[in-house]
Amino acid sequence: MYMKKLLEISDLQMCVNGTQLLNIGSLCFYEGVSVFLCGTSASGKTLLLKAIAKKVKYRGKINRKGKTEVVFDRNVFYTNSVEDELKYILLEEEDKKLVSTFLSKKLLKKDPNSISLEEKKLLLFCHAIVAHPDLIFVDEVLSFLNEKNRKKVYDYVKKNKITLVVVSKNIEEALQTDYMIVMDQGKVAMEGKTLQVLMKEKILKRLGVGLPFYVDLSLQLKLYGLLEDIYLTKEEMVGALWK
Amino acid sequence: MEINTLVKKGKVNAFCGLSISTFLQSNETCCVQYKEYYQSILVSDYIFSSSSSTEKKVIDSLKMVLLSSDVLVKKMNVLSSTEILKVELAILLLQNVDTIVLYQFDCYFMEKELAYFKKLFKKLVLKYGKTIVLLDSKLLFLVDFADRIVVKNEKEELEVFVAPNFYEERLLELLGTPKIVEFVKFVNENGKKLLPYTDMKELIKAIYREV
Repeated sequence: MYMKKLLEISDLQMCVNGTQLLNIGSLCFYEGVSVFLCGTSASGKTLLLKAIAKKVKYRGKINRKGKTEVVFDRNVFYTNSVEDELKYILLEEEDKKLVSTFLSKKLLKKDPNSISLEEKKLLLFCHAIVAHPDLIFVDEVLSFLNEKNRKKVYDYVKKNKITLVVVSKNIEEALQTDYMIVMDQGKVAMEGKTLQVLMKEKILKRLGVGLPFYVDLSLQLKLYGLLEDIYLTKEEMVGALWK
Repeated sequence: MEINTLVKKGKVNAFCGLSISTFLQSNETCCVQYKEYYQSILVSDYIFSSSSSTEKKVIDSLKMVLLSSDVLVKKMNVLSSTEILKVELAILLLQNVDTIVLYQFDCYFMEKELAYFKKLFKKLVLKYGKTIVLLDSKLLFLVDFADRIVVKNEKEELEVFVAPNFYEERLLELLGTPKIVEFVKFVNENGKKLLPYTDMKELIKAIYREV
């Protein structure tokens, strides 16, 4: 099946003081294929995103074939109101409506530094979506949202056919995505369909990456011969164990 | 209720739903939190400007937070978010502060490193009498770790949970239900019997016995 490439990386390298921080041979992001990108500390995730956002110098090629936005995590804002932060006055009516899906109207006049953490993260996300991208990279931001708001984000990108790349330490989020990339020491250590990657638990644990609760439980119960498959919900798990 | 009176010395305290500025205003302490660095200052210069320690002590405290001495020659603006948090924590260890406040610390780390930091913080409390304050951590991180949890509820009131039971309905209502708790509760609701486990290995053993 033909899949449209939205962003293609080849021979991406970055060195600081003789230390290689990034070394990626090739990596592609395809339209409609959501991705979970993870790795332990200093594995190069944020640096890769900075290269994609042209915030750092690098060697190699990043071919952006679709409109790309990168949402970086931050807690400090330098404008006086949420409205200013979003350049709200300049937005089309349709975009204002879109913003209201995530942020209530009463927040618009508030100082962005005084709003709750959850609202700050939603503001960062709104920042990106009013640019109408084809591809959004979200660095850590979703980890701070509650289930309700996280669902809102996933529903929104799905409905608007935006391809989402989630960079997060919260491994549970991997299950919301189609494809998974694990980085280690600036390189892509593993990649593939999410469940297939998650099944390689020994390699993941060696890389310091845990497993989502139900995948972990399924794999361990499989070892004891109590299950034959992977079950991702409590209902399926209980149904299979106590048939 | 005064916030600083709710911090119990020599314990692991968790506060959820409180704004960080509210907390820091009422407690004159330093806080480990993620900040973006735009200046290209060397990590070694940054550390030595915050504490007057010997190089050996700096390297030892970096080791304690899982960093090697290689980080000293890096610049602050190329550090990852986790490296920044680790450097900030290393500085507090060098300063030998009595209270260490950590803002959303667990959101930045993966399982293996979190398990290490839990052990480190417990050691700091039990062996050196330090006070740990966790601001806005997830309930799963607090399991078998926090001695008390203070939560600001929807009415802006503070609710205190001492020696918290992680199956307590009100706590779950306020902070969300960890998957392991969700699963055990669901099993019990369906007529099977499992004890309120918070440890995966114990849960597996119990399922083995039950099925």
